[in-house]
Amino acid sequence: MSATELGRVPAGLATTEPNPAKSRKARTRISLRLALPPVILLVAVCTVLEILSATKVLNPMAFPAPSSIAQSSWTLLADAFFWESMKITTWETVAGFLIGSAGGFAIGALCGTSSAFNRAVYPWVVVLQNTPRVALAPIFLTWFGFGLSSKIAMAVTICFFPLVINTIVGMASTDPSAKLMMRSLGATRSQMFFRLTLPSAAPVIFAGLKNAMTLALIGAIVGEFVGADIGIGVLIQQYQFKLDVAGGFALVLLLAIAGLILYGVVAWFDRRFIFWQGK
Amino acid sequence: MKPRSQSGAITLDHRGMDIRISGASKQYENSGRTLQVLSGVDLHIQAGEFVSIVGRSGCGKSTLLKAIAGLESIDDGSILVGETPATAGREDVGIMLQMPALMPWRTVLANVLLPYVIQRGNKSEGLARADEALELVGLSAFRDAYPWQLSGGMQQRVSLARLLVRRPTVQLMDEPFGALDEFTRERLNLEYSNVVQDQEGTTVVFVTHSIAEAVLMSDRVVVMGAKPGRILGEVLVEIPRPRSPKIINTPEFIAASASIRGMLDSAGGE
Repeated sequence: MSATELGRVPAGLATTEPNPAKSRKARTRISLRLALPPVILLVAVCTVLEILSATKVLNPMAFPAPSSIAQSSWTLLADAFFWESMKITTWETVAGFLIGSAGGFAIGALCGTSSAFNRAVYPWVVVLQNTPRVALAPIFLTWFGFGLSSKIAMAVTICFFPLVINTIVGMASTDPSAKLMMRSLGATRSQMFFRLTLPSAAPVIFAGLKNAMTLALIGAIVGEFVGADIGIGVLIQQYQFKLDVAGGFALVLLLAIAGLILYGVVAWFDRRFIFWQGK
Repeated sequence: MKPRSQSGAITLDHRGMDIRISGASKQYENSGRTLQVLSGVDLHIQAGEFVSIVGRSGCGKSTLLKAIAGLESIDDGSILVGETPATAGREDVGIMLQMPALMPWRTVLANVLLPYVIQRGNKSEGLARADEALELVGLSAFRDAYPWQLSGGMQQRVSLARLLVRRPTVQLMDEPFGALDEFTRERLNLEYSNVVQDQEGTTVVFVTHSIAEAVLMSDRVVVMGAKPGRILGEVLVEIPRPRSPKIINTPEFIAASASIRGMLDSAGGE
């Protein structure tokens, strides 16, 4: 029996090669089918609200018509101060996200590596995770002042814990057979971590990162609400004082778009790095 | 045996190693009760011998194999692989598990190369041998594929290639084909025993709960029993090689299987 003969791949076991790239047309059709229902729903809801507002069934002062929200958004987009505020809030969010998730990952990785460390730290992670951390905002204001640092601290605090927990859970999901295999090969601790545990945990860590990005934005806004000179949170409060509800809604809308973009960036990295997930 | 194609043959560049197990004992403490997993196991496996260990679940066969691999400690006794005590991380000892344990982020080739990466072997030698090992298991065409693109049987072939890549003199097999369907399993049994036969001096310890698999492949079958985990007896299989699936109807095969079953039955157990 020749080597190639004995190793011949049985037809029944043939691999399921990834499908050859679908035609552009087919892909467009699929994305259209996915995008259409939510768009229709949006148009329907806006139309109803518009009618309710125009007929004064809803008080347009309290429940502004979608058209006036759109108009306010447009005005904001042309306003340099809005962009200045958005820049500040985004910066607080991103800085908080980076510091918080890096710290959360580090602590989680230590917990996942050393059981002694885990035993000491993990109970406190659970306790703090279940503490309403936004309540810390006034304290952070006292500690770090009205500037950016108190908002960054808020964002850090909020996105730190999900990363700790996701890192621990991800590392624990490592295939025990693969661990045994690595041990049999004589893998060092660092080889075990970088070659096996970390990539095994990566999908769960990325899920935590996506979550953390959303949370960081919440943290930054809460921080701004409690006390700040500039930022979208401040703008929202100013519009509230002016009783400009349409403007307030417009800010929330633009904030949501900013949040989606930030989330999209993390999701892009997720898809790019964790190509094996769900396969 | 027919001559093997020049590309597939692997010649070992080292002498074979024997395995000497004497008085190996191990116990687990489980909620106050002591479980004797291994009780005074003595076993000498000669260099170049293909030995299977069969037994019911919980007879300690897998523990014994992991102890030979240096992945489990024993409380008493000694295990020598060649001249040195059993320990993990040896280039000349390889283990293959029931699960393929492949890394989904590594290509087939990169998975096969893993032992070279971990043991910091020569990279170009590793690449050459990985290609050779993939050819041997018939997966050359899939070297750049990812494990999740392969069937279970093919994944286990990759795992086999990863075992073979460092050409370990001692190959420890922990129910490596146990999770595969009957046909794939039989096919891999024969392929693997052919590979082993071509690598002169290779010592194999093959743990399985299938009597047929054990008899098909082995020179000797060691039968283990549980509570406490111990050796019940052994059966020599003197069927010439290379073997084909047809041998299962020969009187020798049937006789060997029957005496193994007899030992297992007389020991009782659930």
